[in-house]
Amino acid sequence: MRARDLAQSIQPVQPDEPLATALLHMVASRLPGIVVDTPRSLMVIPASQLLRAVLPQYVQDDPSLARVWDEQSADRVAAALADRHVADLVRAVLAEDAVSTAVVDGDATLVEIATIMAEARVPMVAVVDQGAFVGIITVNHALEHLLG
Amino acid sequence: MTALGWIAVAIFVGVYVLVATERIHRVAAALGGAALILALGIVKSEDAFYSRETGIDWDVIFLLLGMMLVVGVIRRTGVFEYLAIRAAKIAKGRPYRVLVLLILVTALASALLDNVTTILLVAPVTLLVCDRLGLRPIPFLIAEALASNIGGTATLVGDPPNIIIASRADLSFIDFLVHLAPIVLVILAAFLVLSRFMFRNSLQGDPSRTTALMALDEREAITDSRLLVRSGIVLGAILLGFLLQRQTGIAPSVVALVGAGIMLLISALKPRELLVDVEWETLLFFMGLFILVGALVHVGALELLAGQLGNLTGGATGPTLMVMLVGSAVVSAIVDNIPYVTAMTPVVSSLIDTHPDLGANGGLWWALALGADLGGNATIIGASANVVVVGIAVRNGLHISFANWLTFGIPTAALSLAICIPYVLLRYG
Repeated sequence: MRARDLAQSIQPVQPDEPLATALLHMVASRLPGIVVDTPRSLMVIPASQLLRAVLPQYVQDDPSLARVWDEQSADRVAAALADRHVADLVRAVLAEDAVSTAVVDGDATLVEIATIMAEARVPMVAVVDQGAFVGIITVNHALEHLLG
Repeated sequence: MTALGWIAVAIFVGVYVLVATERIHRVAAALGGAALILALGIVKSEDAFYSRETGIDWDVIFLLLGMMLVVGVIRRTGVFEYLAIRAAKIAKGRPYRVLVLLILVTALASALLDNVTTILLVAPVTLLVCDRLGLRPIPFLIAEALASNIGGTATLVGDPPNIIIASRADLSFIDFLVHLAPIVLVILAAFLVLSRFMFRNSLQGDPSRTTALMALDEREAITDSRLLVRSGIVLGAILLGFLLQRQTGIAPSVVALVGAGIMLLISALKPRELLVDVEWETLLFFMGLFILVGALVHVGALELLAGQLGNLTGGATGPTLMVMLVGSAVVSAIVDNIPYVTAMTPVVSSLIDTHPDLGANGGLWWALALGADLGGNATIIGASANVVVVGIAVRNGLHISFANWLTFGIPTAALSLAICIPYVLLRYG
């Protein structure tokens, strides 16, 4: 099967969307990440890297500070999302080199898709066919077809 | 001086300009310049790689490497995060007291570790403390960078220029403690008083937020208490090795390397994990600089400069010490003090050879160290710690402007210099 046949249709997220909305939508759709339609290209951001937008930068710089953080103050973390947009997240993950372009052509085979996922360490890829975004393939979806 | 000599000077000046203006990466500039020097045959490979006078100073390189590895283990124990949070809690969240204790923790850590590492360890925890107390973190971050440059001046391993000076002038760890540590303590005390005034507008806290600070559990910062104890013992042994250098005859570079090896064995870290903490760029930068400066020594350019400097002051002790102290502070405020000190050490050696009075009690060396280490506080680009703290601020959505830094940097550098001038004149003049 080719990527275009496996793609599951979703709407990419726009950079000017509120970050909280995009995250809630991802959680509700049970997707392992989001696809952002940046002016330069499509960007797949895995859910684990979305946490960069939630955690204070100083905790990411020194992870041992997460251990001293008291449970009662956990809501402070969520407060960091207010007034932030998807574009802020894109900047954060680009600065950390925490994302690679995980976009495949519509003609890509299952092995190609799996290889890109493994190389880029992403749980999903975006599929572009003849220059247009057609959807995503998750690692579970790819494995279903590889193993089945 | 020969035509080849002038070419060597031109290459060095070119590299210096490239490093200062950051037109290309400093490692590329230094190694590119060194390669050109070697390719043109200005110095030969035996001069560059095996000569103590005109080649790479391997004592400096391996002391830096050893200490980077030692720090790489200690930083993983979480002890610095523990100390900083504990300090803020001891201060009961009162802003000025918190500032004082964080300055002291930073200065003390910086005397043992290099300044950049200290800032990388202390800045994130400072942001956490300020976040909890609702304080503006920028004054705290700037104060810590200034304190790290002051604290680093006190010891042989505190600041890279000191390591270079120690190696070139054959000065021991104890020499630094005897000649620099006392005056650094005075400067630090004066800086604490100055901070009260400089940062007064940012030291208004909300007492009700102290509870949020007290809720932090600093003991959780300690990741491995067994490793902390073991690495503490090894660090103590390393310091003892530094202190007994004259008695044992073992160079600090060897002590640091042996210490690093023991740290590796006791930490259970894979060498690959620990090697990530080595700043290879800094080591390569040093190597390139040593070859460049070695070439200037080889062609006699630095001897010429020393002669000019001697003529300017007539070799009189007081004026020469002042030119060295104040001149070094001014230059270090504008450009990286590492290439400056690397180039100046042969000049100082030559001056002392010509005018032995200048070398009495190492006076001229201490003037160079104090000027180069403390002058960097004046501007945002004067010291690596300043550049790093500004970068951390930006990552956390804070902006420290060049002018903003000058507001605090100039008074601090001026105060330090004002204290050093009578000290140097009275003790060595």
